[in-house]
Amino acid sequence: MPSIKLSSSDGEVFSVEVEIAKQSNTIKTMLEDLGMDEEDDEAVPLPNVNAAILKRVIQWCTYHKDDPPPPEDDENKEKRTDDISSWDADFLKVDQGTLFELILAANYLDIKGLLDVTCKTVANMIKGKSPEEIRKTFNIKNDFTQAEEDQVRRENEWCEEK
Amino acid sequence: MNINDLPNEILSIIFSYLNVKNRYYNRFVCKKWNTLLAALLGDDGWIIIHKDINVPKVSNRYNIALYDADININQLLPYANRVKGLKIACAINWESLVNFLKNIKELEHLDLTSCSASSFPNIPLHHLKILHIGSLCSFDLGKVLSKASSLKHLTFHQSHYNSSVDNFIRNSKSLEGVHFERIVEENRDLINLFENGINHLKVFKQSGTLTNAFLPYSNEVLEKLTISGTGLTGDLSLMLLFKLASQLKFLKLATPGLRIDWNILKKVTQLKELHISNNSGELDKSLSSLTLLKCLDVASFSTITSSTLKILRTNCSLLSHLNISGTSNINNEDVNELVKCLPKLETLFLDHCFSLTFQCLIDVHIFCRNLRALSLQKLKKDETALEDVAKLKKLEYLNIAFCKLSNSWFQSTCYKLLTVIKLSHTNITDEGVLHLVKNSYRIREINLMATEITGDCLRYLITVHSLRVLDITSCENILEEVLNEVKDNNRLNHLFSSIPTPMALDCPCIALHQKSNVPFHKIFTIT
Repeated sequence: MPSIKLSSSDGEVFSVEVEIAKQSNTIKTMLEDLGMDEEDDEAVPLPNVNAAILKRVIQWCTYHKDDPPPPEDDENKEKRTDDISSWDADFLKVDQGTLFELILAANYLDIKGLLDVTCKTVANMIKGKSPEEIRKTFNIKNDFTQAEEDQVRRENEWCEEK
Repeated sequence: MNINDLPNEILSIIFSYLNVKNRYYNRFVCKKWNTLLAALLGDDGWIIIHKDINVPKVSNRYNIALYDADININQLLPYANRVKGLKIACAINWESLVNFLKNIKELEHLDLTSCSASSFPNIPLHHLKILHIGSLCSFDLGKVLSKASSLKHLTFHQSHYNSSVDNFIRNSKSLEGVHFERIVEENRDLINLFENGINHLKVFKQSGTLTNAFLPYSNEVLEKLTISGTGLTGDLSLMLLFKLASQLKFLKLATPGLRIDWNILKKVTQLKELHISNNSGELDKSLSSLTLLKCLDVASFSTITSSTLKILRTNCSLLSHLNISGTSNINNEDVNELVKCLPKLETLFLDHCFSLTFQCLIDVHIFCRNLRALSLQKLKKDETALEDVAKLKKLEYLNIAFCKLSNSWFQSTCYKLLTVIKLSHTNITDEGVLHLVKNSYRIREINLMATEITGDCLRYLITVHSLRVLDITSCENILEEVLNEVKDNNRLNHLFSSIPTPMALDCPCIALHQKSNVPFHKIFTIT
């Protein structure tokens, strides 16, 4: 199995099978279009991902390497969030900060499957909660004044029709 | 790290998983969520109603959507006779709605997506054209259908299927299309319906587990087919499907990797619109016979090559919408030659085609005089065709995000009809933006994410009368004071902004998700 080296923002180098790394469209593009050679001994620099997160991303990609490509989003449908596999659910039992960093890494590396499942996990944390509960869960400050809040309610009585 | 440190694009993805009710309520969490969720809520052309409604400001609106279970329906009663469309997207008490429904004179569109209705009132339904039954409805659908003598389109969940629904689908004179949602198991009666009962329908859409048994393969009048099933099982081929569908005009296969028999697709010669993205295969084989094709959407299709474009060039001269984003096996000359032969081209998407440069658009203004939408995200810059692109006078939509164009280029453009422009991660400056905006009287949406523009530019933009959507996320030169100043004083529908975070700035792949904000086929209505 050919492998490539990935270098995290804090300089740690990981050796990963090419097929696993290619789940990241960003890495795939770098390899294919920017002429990075697989035999090249130089590590691919990933300046937006630190070692701790990169390690987890590689773990996820390794487990999911044989998955079929994720389906196209149907913009007309309410999307499901109850279809997270138990392995993924366990994998994502992490603190909020780590979860958000995984999202950013999945977005940067363009790994759709990982981005989907992490975003779903956050959506599940939001679902069924009142605004106050959400603020508590995510430590968000309510920056509305009472007048502004009323304004939002009023403005949207009738939404602009396109 | 806090959830609000995530870039807006990602928060929007997360919010897209919420149902309408959640989206509505969560607007009150904070200002940032309000802006993002408002963008998700308000774009479907329906009037959104919640509990604090007093007197409607606009009186001539006919489609209303209920998103709030606590609405006092009695307040709405005076308007009931004007309602033509009703969408119930919350767990509202159904009984409280019955009286309202009885007062609607000409109900044409009823959408019970998120409604748990256990019985249906005895009201006339002979004007009803579109009916959407959600999975929570438990009334006798057959009984309702028996009164819907002009129903054209029916969407329903597999679990509602019974013999009276079966009867309706088989015998209705008005019914043109059915959307089966979430077919999950092999039901003998349902298979029977697919084999014999839907052969008169012109429009067919199905989502759910995809097996050969659930394809309308002996329908000779089928015009529009959408398959978005994801649970691909077994060895599926669409061979049978196209055996007789000689009238098919629209085909969308939104199941990535679906095995398609390209020889059979060749026989669907009436096809005008084809959407197959994230796939691969011998598309070339079929294209040579699809001479009536007006729209081809094959983004991220791995087997598109020079010869594919050659076939398009010689066979598909009617093509007006083309999306070949994410293709890396074609070169500038291929595209050059292609545009010369497509005089009707209105939409051209070449995002993320890493083997192309601007050179591929040489003389495009001469050959494609009707080009209205051009998307060139991440296209490599060279000096050759810049002037030509600037001369596309009819452009309404332009995406040049991540293209490193010089500022003098922006100054040379004059897009009078421009309504949407995406300039994120470009090196456009205040002068460039001002030039663009001053020449485009209809500008509605500008994306300036991660650009160098300053507060002065922002102060000007919020005075632009036609502007509705502005994204200035990660614009480091816009100070927070200016942002606060304009926030209180702007007439935009949506202003996206953030205090710049290094992470968002460095993130080249955000653009991939921006792409999905405006689905290719939604930019213009394709007829």
